[in-house]
Amino acid sequence: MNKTQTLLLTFALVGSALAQEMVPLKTDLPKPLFVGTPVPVKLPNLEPPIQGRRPPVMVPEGVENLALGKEVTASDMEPLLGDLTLITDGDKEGEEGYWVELGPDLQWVQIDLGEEADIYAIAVWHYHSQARVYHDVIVQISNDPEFKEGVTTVFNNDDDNSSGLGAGKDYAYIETYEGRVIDAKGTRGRYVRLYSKGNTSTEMNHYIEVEVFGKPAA
Amino acid sequence: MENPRRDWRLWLALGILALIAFVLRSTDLESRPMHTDEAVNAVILGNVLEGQVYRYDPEDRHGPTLYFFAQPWLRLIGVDSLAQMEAWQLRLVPAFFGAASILLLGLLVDGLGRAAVIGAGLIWAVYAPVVYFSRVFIHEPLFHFLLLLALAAAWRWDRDRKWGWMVLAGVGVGLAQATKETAVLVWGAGLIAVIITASTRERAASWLPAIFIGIAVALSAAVVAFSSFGQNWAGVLDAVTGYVGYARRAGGQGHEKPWFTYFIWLWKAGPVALCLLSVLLVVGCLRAWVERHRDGLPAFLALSGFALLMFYSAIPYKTPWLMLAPVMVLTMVSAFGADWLIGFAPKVVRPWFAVVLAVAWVLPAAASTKRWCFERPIDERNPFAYSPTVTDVRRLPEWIRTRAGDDPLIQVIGDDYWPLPWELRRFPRVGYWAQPPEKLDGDIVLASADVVDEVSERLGEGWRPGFFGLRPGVLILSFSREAL
Repeated sequence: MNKTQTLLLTFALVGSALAQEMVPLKTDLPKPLFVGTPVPVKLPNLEPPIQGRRPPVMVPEGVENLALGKEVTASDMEPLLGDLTLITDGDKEGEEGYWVELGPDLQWVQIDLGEEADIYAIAVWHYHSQARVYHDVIVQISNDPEFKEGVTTVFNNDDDNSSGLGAGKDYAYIETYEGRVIDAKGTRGRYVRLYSKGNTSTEMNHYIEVEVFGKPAA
Repeated sequence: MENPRRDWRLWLALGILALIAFVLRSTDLESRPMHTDEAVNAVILGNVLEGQVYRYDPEDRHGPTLYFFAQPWLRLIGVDSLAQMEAWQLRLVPAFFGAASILLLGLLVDGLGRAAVIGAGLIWAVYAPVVYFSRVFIHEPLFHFLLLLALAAAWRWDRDRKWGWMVLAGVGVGLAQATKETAVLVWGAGLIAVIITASTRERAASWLPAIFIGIAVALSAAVVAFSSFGQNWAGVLDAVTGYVGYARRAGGQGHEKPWFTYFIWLWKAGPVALCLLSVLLVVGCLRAWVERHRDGLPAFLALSGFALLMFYSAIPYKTPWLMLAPVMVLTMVSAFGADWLIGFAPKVVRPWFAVVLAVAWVLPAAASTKRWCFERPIDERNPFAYSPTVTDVRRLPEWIRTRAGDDPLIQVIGDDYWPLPWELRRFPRVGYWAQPPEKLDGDIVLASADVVDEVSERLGEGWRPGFFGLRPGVLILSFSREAL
């Protein structure tokens, strides 16, 4: 093949390539495999594997649970199951009869500590007889019972602000018998409000117990 | 003896009941997320609509008829693929067959009596377990329709001796066999009942030639269905050899439960309605015994119903929809008993007694139907909600669009991700892997609990994890890129 022929062939190939319409590369993705009826599960609680063991929350010596036996109010004052006193009665068992069920969508419960306090940790047990995750868990502290002024948010995993209280950076977590201990960093306030917006198993909101560890404000 | 074709009041009553049944079965069909079994059926149906030949696979699947009957309806309303489907469109199929079953009762009127037939229609129209599973895109409502078609046509052949009825009975038997493998239990129960009732009668011999014709038609219908109209002959062999696998699975495979489970489920669903039906069942059985010299249909139903209940109770594998076949047969006997009870009342008050009896049963039954079928269809306390899909999974498509737009590459990994193929049906680029693939390059990665450690480790930093519920206690982890 002489130079002229080589040149012509090269032009022909390049021209041919340019003339072809370019389309996005499509890759074959594996199809789903068919399965039978799933077995109803009764799993032990799972610790979220992506987070590992959480570090302990450090608190000053002498703090105590200021929420024990304190009055609880809620966005849903007529719970579907149980009553609000269960939230501060000190029982953390997972069976029916130990938890209160509030309605669907965003709901809150609020604990009145009776006086202003320096709050170092808040522990919450939503439900732990099944592996589930509660959505948009937001915990706030304030001296205003209406939570309109002076509100400090100490936990917020509503990362897309779907609940309208601001986007949070905290992670969602699977409920376990250990509950969730939230570092409140000594925030001062009389009222503690906890939000949630349904969970991965039902649209309802549940609370077994809430503990607020702190000291009365000096 | 009544001629069913001329009894316009009977057909009017059954028509009204079928209409009520259809309304109860077709109202608010989108309220409940798709169960895993429904999602599997939808994906198979989607493949058929998109031109694939249905290949019967006895492993984790049932017969092909549901897809064959659903296909023309979906084409009629312009649905040609999985992506175009809506849950209500699919669930109208069992709703239709559930309601249509009531009309078939009319063909049994000269065996049970008009009041008993209407009573059975009333029970089927509103009883919670029957209503609940006629709202689910599974095989049972079609299966029961075909069984009843076979029974009614065989009965009519016995009455009229017209061969068309026996051919229809054969078609019903064959298609029922090609709907659910559990049909063999029905044939077994029916055979026991025939042997016992025929021993008290002399007409068994007259059935023999017709039975051979019926069996030939049934086999033909089953072969046509299992072979996908001659396109997959291996399906016919699989329909037979598949029973090895079915026998193994009957041991439970996680679904094993005590023999009395069906009673517990029915009790939880509505104890008052169950008690009344049980009392009427006893009365019905008594009447069938007392009047055994008659044509034998009530005795056949009672015997086959109890035999079926015994079979299903003895088999460790139990799911709530399996109890429907014996429930539907035995409630016909209950209605037969109610008719007898009403007959003992003085003639002048008989209609009022019938109304009182009907209302006494309907009120508690309707209340439980309202609770379990409409108010709490996937509640964990609902005895019919068996491994239900939770509503949380419905957030997933919108969440994906928010994080990664309308055309993301989605990688679904693990061994427990159903019914995600249904929820993600409108995303064109979704892949499913049992184990993490070599390249984890999706815009969205969804991982079930068994692989989440590996997936999380391999994705590393820059991914935000989240959770979605699939079923009670079953989660799937979602990973989206942090920057998004």
